[in-house]
Amino acid sequence: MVKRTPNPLDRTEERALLERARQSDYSAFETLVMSCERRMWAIAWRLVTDKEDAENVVQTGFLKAMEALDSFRGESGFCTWVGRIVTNEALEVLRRRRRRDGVSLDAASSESDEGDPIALPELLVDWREDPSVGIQREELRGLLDSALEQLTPGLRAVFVLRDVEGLSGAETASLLGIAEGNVKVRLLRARLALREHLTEAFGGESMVHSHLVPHGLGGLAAALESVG
Amino acid sequence: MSDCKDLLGALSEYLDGNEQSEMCATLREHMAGCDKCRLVVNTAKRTIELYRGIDVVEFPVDVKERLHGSLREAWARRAVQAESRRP
Repeated sequence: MVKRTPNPLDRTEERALLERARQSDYSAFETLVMSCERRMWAIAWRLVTDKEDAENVVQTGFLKAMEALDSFRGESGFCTWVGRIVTNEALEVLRRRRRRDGVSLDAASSESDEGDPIALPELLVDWREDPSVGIQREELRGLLDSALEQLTPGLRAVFVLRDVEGLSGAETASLLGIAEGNVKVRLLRARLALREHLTEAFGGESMVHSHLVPHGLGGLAAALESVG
Repeated sequence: MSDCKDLLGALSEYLDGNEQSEMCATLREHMAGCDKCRLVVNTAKRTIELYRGIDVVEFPVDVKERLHGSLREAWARRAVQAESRRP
């Protein structure tokens, strides 16, 4: 039986556990794993949105961390370090999916983020007071996951890392191997696209279309898909 | 109309709390008289809050058990390899 997840570790505890783990103490390594396994699952799940893939991503991430334990210098915290490995594994899954579907993620990620115009908000209607009232928590999760799934991997990764995981623009850029300026552009695109999807769910029936969108431009989501 | 479009670039900065910047001040001023921009900013803000506020799907117990099982096995293999490398 696996023990319960402990409280977050402070850096001193973490360093001591790392030292013990390097000296072959499995229980120390296990404590480190348990301090961030939920967070790793959250990152993996939100990026790959599939239980089996998320499980493989988390497992591979921790196994790679185990193998590299002796070379980990501790410049960042253990969870940040494993978070990088897990994010890269998740992105690899997304790349494989894109290749399988005949679309190159690398081609998509090297596109000119800053040069393309940002698609403008289209659905202009206020949400009900509290969107979570009147629907089950599971249903709300489903809505949020489904909106996230509609983003391209490049946009999804930036949104998850910046807005959900709280990484800085610089950290996100370094993790994804893109310029910080591109993180900003993608974040804006992702936020606007998600806002649009959620407005469809929470905005009631009388949708008002924006005066901002040039006539005939088409849906915001479609415009974002074509550039993001 | 062009004001709304021009100010879209300040949206993220505003949502990130860099409200002291000149662009954000312009956006804030503009929002006071533009219902539509106020609505976009507010719903974008609530979008982020919803994602931050909702717990991710529970870390499933079966996934956790398999993770720890696989880590324990890998750790044991590692120990055997390390032992065999000793002179």
